[in-house]
Amino acid sequence: MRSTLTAVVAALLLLALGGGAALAHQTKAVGPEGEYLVIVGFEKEPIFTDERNGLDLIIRRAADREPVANLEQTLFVEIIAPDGQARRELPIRARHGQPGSYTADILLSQPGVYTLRIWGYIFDVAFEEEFQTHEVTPLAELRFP
Amino acid sequence: MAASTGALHWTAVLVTALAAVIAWAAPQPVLGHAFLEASDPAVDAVLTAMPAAVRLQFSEPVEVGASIFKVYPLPHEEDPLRLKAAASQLVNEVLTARRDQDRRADAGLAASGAVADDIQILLKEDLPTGPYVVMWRVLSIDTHVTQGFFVFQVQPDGGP
Repeated sequence: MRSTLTAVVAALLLLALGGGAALAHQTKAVGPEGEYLVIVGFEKEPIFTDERNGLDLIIRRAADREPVANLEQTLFVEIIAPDGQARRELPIRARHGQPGSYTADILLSQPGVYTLRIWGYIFDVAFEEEFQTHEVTPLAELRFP
Repeated sequence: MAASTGALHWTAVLVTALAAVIAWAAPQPVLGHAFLEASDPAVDAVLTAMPAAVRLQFSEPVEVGASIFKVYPLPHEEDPLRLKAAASQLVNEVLTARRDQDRRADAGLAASGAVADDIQILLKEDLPTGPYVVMWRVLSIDTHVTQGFFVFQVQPDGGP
């Protein structure tokens, strides 16, 4: 019983520290000397089709992992569908109460792997990077009966 | 056994309390916070003459005394995106700085109540032309803090 309670408390502390948000996210260092970390994922992972989701974009200083706020006007994200044809620029906004964290709402309608092209400025550092999502699964696979 | 049951009871109470604190502190959907609705000069405006003040209209009243409003000059930059990047860096550096009156372009707020949704930031006299950044961190009456910034420019010839 004690070990169960310890596990529950540990899980709650992990949740409180935001550890769960970074699962399955991808990170790339940008800048001439890798000054900044661009961390990309989705709010709900694993990702299913036809479910409201959101980009989870986090910018941190590489040296001390401090979040970098106020970048919403100089960051740009384009999402490209698995067929490589359909693409859309996502309107980025800062997450309230989470400095250095940015999001954009989206509902992915096709299964497969999406590409995220992210570019812009982090202060005086210009960058452009591409990320691939994990496989997006059809929501129908969850339906029962 | 009774002692063990009592310890478990209090552990369960502590876990429940911790969960409640986490649920309270977790990010909530943003509804009704104080966001910039309008401004004069407008966002990204290019003016031919320096205004006497900057007016900010928020979506709901803010606690003026617990909020920060500043205007800073920016270095000249042709590329609008690089100008915004320079502005974002400056905002990170100076928004919460103290004793920075000499570096600022504003002269404080025009008289307003303790709570207001319409803020007027007075500008110093004889400011040079060029780009400026208006920045704020406001405590709204729903107790949430929001912040933001925008750039405007003064160019006597009206710009490119």
